[in-house]
Amino acid sequence: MSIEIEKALNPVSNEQDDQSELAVEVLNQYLNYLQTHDPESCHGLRAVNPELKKLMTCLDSLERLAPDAERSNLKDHSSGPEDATLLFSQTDSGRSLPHQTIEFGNYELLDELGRGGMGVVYKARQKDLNRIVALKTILSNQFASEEEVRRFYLEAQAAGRLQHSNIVPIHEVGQYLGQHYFTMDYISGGSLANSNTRQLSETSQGDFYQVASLMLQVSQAVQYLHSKDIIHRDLKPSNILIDENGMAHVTDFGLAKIFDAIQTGSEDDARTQSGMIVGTPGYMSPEQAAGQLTEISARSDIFSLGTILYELLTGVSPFKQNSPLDSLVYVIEGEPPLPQTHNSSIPYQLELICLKCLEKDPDLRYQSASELADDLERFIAGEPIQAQPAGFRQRFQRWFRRQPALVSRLSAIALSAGIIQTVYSTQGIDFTYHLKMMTIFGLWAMLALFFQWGLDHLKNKEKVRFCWVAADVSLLTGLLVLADSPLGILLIGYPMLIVAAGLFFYVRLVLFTTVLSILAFAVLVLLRPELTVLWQYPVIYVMVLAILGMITAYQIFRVRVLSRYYDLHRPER
Amino acid sequence: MSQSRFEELIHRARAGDRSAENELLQKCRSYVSLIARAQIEGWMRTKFDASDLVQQTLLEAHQGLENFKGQTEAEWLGWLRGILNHNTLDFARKYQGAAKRDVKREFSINQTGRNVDQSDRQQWELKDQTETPSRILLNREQEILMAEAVAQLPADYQEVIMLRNLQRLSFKQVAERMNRSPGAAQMLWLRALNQLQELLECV
Repeated sequence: MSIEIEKALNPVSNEQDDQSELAVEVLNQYLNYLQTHDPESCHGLRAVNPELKKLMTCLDSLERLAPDAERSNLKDHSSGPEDATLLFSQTDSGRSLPHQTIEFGNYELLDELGRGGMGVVYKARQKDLNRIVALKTILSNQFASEEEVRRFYLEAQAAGRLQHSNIVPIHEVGQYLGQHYFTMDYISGGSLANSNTRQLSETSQGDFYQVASLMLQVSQAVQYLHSKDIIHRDLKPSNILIDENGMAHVTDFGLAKIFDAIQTGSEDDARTQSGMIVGTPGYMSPEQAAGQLTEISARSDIFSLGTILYELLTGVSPFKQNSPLDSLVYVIEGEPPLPQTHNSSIPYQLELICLKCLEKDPDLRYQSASELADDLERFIAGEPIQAQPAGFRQRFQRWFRRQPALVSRLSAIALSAGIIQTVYSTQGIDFTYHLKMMTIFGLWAMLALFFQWGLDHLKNKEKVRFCWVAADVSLLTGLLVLADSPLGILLIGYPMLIVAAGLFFYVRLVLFTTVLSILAFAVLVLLRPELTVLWQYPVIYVMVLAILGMITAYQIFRVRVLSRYYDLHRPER
Repeated sequence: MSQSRFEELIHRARAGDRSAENELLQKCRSYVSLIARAQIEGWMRTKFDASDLVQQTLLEAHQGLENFKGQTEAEWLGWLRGILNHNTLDFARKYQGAAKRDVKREFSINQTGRNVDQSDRQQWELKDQTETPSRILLNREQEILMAEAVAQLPADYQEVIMLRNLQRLSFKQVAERMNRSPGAAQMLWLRALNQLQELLECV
């Protein structure tokens, strides 16, 4: 038994009396959470009260013994309805508790507005001032020590001093029953994430000006934050609230930075892992996604603003993928389709502004939120904007990021064909041989274009990838069958295809490529007897291929596991 | 009492080993009693001696053992709970006197094991499935130990646990039922929890 509880048992002085009163209060709250099926809050209380953990475990197993209302078949068996209702009235009332208001210190929690990895947001009534506020609880497992709690308070208080018409003001920070929270203005209209996007994507020209003016307000708010040395780091539609007058209000600012500072401060702690990447995959900048903490600057927020503008224009989030890992990879190396491919009526100037925000290199973006605001203002006023169309090199880079599989294949094909053409022109070998080789290269390039089209337009992208890989392996084998002896070095083609398949991050695709390559090589050995002069060489080659495939698949598997872990511990949804 | 030990008991009892069956039923006595009391007392809003109900339930379990098809501890406890539920429900009906008794049901209570017809079989199997999946996944051994620990507590400790935890009453209601101030009820609860935890650690 811990000292804490000894004290509780022998209340001698007032202080110890208080101790056990607090223990009862916390345990009772814990039991309430248990009985209302709120595991998240239970977890929170557990984390801040380690000395009560054993007693909480006791409460857990007692709760499992309590009669359970879910066994509804009992009601079916009962002949009179009265007895059933009486028999279960107790548990029923326990279950309906979440719908009643919950007391939370000076607040009454009225409604749950949303929840994320950091905590839960409630609509709440502040009793003494009788006003409606939004109350956000911070899960205590976000904090590793008292020092960090202190820093959270300091930063939150600093954030409380901010004043801007497009920023949601913070009223108060505090804690109740070990649960840290802060309150802010309640904005009734909901956020960009759940209200306006759909309307805005059904477009008339006027709407684009609305989008621009909304983004202008947000940029000005972000500029204000930057002028106070606060980087938001988690700008996204759900953090931009719209009031009933259609004005935008930025929320959740600065807190991400606080947590980030906490995380980098204590790297030994296992907890840091969950917060390594602060932000939301799909809306964060490449430097955030890559975890380059020192690279994060005000310009990272500009990138996030670009993703929001893109989503407002097209109704599609530019980098969002099925899993957070895919989103991260896509943010770092992918390029979304041009906004105009979603909707051709999007004004070219707005597209340019959006693309300038979304540059991978921070130096190529707007250098401050006020520059972005200025360009948006010019667009609204009908003046020429400062963002310039991309040059040839930038365009090629974007094309490569947008369709890497196609561009890399076309480049490889062009290079190889070029070399063969040079050899043919200088040495003048057999024409039919040359024609055959060139036909295969041409076919390969056409198929690549076709499969890229399939990836962009067909629903079942996975199948397209498998077919593409199968086509690659067959065409490579065709080339090798025809090629002049000795083949030797050219066999490097198979390992290359296996590794390249790994770039899609699908274990099955890699294994599929490996098996196909081995089969193709077996065919090749049959057709080209020269390969079997020393029988052990092909065997070694096949085994190396298999091992290579396995290693690549294993690496992807490991990254996938990390991705799942990250998915479970995402700081903010 | 480890999981495998418990399952071994179930296995031996099903094979006809009388002493194993006895041990198995005795181990579950506190468990059945606690749940019976929680149900009935929550409903009647007063104290209740559940020993008759427990006796009845364990007797039916003994008589109907051949109908028990499961192997795991969780299945066994689920089955016991099923029999118990059926008995508490019957008790509730008798007590209220509102509903006519189901003759067929009475038959099944008294005759189970000796005169099992097909419909009875199905009834038991149905009870077997009343468990919710979340319950089945939980560690049932802990529940038996916990029930035993509760049974060892002094009477007023038992009562406060019964009211606050098992019947989910608020401390205000608990205080009224126990004729104490809410503060005193809370302190009593804390002491009861501490002692429970000590008892569990000794096991």
